[in-house]
Amino acid sequence: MFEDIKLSFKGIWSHKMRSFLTMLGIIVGIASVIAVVSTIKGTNDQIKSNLIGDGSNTVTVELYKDGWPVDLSYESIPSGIPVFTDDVKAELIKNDAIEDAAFYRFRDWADSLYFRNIQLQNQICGIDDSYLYVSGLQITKGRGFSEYDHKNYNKVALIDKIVLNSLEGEDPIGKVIDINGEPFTVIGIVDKRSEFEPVINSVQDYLNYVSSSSGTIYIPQELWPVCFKFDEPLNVIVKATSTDDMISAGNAAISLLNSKLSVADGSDIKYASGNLANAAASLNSLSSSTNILMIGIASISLLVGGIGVMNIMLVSVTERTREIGLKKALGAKKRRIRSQFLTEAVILSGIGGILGVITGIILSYVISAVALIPVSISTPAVVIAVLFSMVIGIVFGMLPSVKASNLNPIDALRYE
Amino acid sequence: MLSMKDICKTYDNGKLTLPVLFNINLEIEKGDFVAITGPSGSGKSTLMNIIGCLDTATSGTYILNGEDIASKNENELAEIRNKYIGFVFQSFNLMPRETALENVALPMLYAGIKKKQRLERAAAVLEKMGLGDRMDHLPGQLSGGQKQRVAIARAMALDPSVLLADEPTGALDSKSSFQIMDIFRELNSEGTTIIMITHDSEIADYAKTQLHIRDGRLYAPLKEGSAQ
Repeated sequence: MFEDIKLSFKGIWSHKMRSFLTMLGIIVGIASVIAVVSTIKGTNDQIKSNLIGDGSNTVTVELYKDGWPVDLSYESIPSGIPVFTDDVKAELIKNDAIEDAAFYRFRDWADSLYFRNIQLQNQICGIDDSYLYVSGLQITKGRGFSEYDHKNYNKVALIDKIVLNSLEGEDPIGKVIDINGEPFTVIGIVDKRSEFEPVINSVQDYLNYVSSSSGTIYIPQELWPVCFKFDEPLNVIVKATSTDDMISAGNAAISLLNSKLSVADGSDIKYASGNLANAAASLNSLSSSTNILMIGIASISLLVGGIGVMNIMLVSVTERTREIGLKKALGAKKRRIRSQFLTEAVILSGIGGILGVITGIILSYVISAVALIPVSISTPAVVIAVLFSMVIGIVFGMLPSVKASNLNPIDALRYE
Repeated sequence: MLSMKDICKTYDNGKLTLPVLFNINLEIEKGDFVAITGPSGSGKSTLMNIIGCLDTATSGTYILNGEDIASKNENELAEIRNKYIGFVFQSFNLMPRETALENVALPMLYAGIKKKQRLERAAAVLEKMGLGDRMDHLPGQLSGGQKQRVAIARAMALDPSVLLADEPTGALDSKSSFQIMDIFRELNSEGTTIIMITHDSEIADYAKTQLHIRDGRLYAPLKEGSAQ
């Protein structure tokens, strides 16, 4: 085997130009596949992050009344809505599609929200201890809520960057924010874990983005009743194990939470999840249809490349007829001759595949730079491309190598 | 050691039947040095191919080292060639991109010998052929006589039962030819059995025994110096 590989490289190297031209078919095929897959994946990722935030695979499930989210800024608490305990959270996490879950309460605005004498126009969110992780937030300065803060009703708060920017350049850490007359000490600043830069090409993109951009002040959920009411319904944010699981994670959470409700018959109050799950569904169908297209393009271009490899291997067999005859005379068995040519075909197309991947990655970045399309190199596509090019080598190397191994040594030795 | 009985060979391409060898009987003992002479078209190459297990007879029995060649399949024949036969060709048939050392080591690869031993053994045989300083040369960098000596080294690498030479001097000048024949004689004196095809009577005279083939029939040993 090792001898075969060494021999193959020798053979390929001794015909550099011809080997390169042979590989060209495979190189072009693989490179175009990689470039197209990367561009499509990049575009998909962009759409995904615009729709779903930073791609942290979270689905928010909120209480809806008559088709609209319940907003306690304007209305009273509907009856029959229990305040969920950690048991419910444990039940949620048991689902395979759900990696983690967190509870939160939410107000679009508070009557009185001040930092010194600056009135703030921000959202307020009461969060439990797993909320930051689940929603993909991290502390960029200061510290987060400790277990101690949650247990001891410490009046502490976190703010995000948008709130920070509205504080007229002051360092807020250690300073006080006044929420409905209660003083909360700012202890940290949070930000999205991954740097998320929205690409806004349409009104829809803008609306998706702006809904999450009005700035939020976070307080421990234990302190919610201090500022607001004690039995306000909880909302849930679940983190799906993968983007593909977002729909099932969202649906599982919705049906579990709804089963806990005891609302009066005829009233339309239920937990639901905006349109994120639907967005995820349409994304998935988008990816799968492009994937099928890709497989088609890949097959055709690699078929052409494979025929090129077969052609050259057949020429190579004819050219080396005497060599094959000699080897057989010296005691080489059929299998050895076959594996020599097969190895050469596989190595030829494998190198072609690797060069194709490199070309494809370069091409992707060139396309990205020229056409301003985001590019995301797909690792599975790279691996599959190289493996597939080797399979092409096996399939199209078979005929020449069998032909070589079946040569009659006497005729082969006499061949001029 | 090598015994042929009533060997016939007929080529049949479906339309035309062409008999080439008729009832060849041949006994060769260890240590023999046999020259087979004959004009072209006499069937001597066909006989060589059958002796070298490159081809099988249409009928008759051929026993080499106690093995019945007629019953072997292609892969078994390859193994027998590897073990028992050392080939020396008119046109050397060296691998052009491999060094002299690698060329000599090649049959040992098929015998499953480890690389280190292969190269050691190949170097020793080349040394014996007086090519100790040419081991890393490619065939293209060697003279005709040197190429043929590399080929002989390759044939001798696995200590064959029979050294089978097909016009070994056909592509050489007379000085190199006699050098090669001296090597053959020396190998024979050390116990190597040699069968050689030639149509050069001067070369055939180096053999202990001369056989003549004509129209597919083998004729009894001719006296030395009396060929054709």
